[in-house]
Amino acid sequence: MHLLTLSLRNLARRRTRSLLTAAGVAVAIGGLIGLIGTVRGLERGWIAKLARRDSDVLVVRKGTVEILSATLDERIAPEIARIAGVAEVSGELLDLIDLDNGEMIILAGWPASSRFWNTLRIKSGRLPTAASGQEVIIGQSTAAALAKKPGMPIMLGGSEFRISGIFAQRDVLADWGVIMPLAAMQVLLEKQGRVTVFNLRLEQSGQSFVSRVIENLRDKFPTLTFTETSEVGDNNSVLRVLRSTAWVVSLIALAIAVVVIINTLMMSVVERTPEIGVLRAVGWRSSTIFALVATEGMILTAIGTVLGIGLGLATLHWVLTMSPLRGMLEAGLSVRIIGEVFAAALLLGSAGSLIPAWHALKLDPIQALRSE
Amino acid sequence: MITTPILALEGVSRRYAQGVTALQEVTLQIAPGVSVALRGPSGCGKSTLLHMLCGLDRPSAGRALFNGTQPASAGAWARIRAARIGFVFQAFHLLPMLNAMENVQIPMLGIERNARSRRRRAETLLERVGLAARACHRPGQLSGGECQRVAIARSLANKPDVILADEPTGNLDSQTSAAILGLLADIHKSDGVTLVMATHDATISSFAQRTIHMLDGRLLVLPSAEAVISCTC
Ligand SMILES: Nc1ncnc2c1ncn2[C@@H]1O[C@H](COP(=O)(O)OP(=O)(O)O)[C@@H](O)[C@H]1O
Ligand SMILES: [Mg+2]
Repeated sequence: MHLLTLSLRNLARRRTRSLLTAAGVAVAIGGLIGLIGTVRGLERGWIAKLARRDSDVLVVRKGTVEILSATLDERIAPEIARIAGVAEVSGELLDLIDLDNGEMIILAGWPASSRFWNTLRIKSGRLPTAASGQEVIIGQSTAAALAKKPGMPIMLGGSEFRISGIFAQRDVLADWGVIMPLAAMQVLLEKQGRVTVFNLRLEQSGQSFVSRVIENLRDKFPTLTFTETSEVGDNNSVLRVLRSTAWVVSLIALAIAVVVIINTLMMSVVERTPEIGVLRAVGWRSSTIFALVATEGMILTAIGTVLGIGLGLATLHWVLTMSPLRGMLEAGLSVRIIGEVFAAALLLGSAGSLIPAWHALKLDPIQALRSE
Repeated sequence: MITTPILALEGVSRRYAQGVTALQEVTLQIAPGVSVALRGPSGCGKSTLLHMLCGLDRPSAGRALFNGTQPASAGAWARIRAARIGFVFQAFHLLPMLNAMENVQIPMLGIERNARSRRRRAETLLERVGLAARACHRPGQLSGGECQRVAIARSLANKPDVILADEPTGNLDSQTSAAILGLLADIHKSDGVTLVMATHDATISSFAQRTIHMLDGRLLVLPSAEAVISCTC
């Protein structure tokens, strides 16, 4: 028998209470993982990938908080294209719309001449023709969800379009997008002459070259924001707000988990006063008694954290595949982040256990041993 | 020549906050290897005295010595209890979630590093108290007498020089009591441990070499209360 055996037996003795405590920790950790995972997923999946394609710089209106709500005048494009180092400017209109079945998807509009069209992998059908004005190409998941095939109609924003083809996996729009010629989308949204972003391709991709061109662009177009696509996630205000919210909520969740652990151990220590008296009577050192209680706390934390990580990953899986957010984010949790959460939780749980462990030493167990 | 008493109290008093005095200037010396019965009515201070003898409780006045020296701290007393003193309680105080084997090993944790040695010693001790067949039973599955045997085995875990027993038969019927007292006396005789048993039960005296009587926090020593009880038999 070891000290660990004793800790485990003590927890097993009040099985329901131990499990409830672990469950409390699990819910906190699960929420934390779900939140962080969602925010990271948004970061990696949606906004970052909006620009990733093969563009180097993303251009939006200055002061834009939410990228989809701002628009730019299409006619700036040729002016930007004139700046030295800019190889190509491609306008893009983006929006989120609801489909008839309540599904939320990303709608993108590309100019007929955009090179983005060539990056789509067509599964069936063909690209929409600009001339028809009423054709769209849809992602395979959207197609599957709506049971659509090329040639069938689809209602978008109250207008009927014809599906010219189905594409597979094209980064952000993943499988969940609908893409149409820019002109048609501008009409649909009554945003004639407007785009959401310009995607710039530069002549070279070296870091110093890119910085120089961006410097120059910022000088010439003070009302626009130029962001290297690799930094889009970092600079996005919505993500910043989400990230700090996730942090605050996570800290609160962790704090609650620690309080739950402290509370349970405290109860358990107090009700075991005579047993702690016996341990004292047989000559256990304070440090051993301390270690016993702290070990119980660590075991509870570890069980709760493992359950919580499972719960969090399950939640995240739901967010990624079934929630209204699906298609907009990409699994963003690395093993490293999970490891860090595990370590942080264990550390906090252990730190929390120190309080009841300390309390165990302050008890006066002698009275409980007295025979009457 | 006088041997150094293994246990000694010098003018020890224990007062509680509420003005209760549980012990009043008790002076006592117990020589190594004797067996002593500490008798007196309930509430006279027997448990308090036993706690003083092993440093579980600290005197309000006076000093408690072990083997002629005064341990400097609670930690020093803990080390002495771990290595040299076994304690047996009226209410057994076995840990309910551990079986007999495991209960006996409790004092060995942190003393005997080798888990197999702990096991082997626990087996030997359970055999010694006649409970080899009950090694895997938990306290809830044992009778009162069996629980007290496990507790006695536990008190012997680290080969102590002293066993302090506080009302060891208080929760047992008379037949079982006699068996338990017989076991303690037997251990005293064969191992040469110093045995101090507190009880309000008159039958215990026949199992001890000496009997000390207590009343209201004092030792009753005739003719003079000043006399030092040196149980150097
Ligand atoms: N914590 C305490 N506060 C006040 N009085 C106490 C406390 N503990 C014990 N006493 C009193 O001290 C006296 C001696 O107690 P105890 O040593 O347990 O006696 P015994 O073991 O002989 O029955 C009793 O009168 C008891 O009520
Ligand atoms: Mg008593």
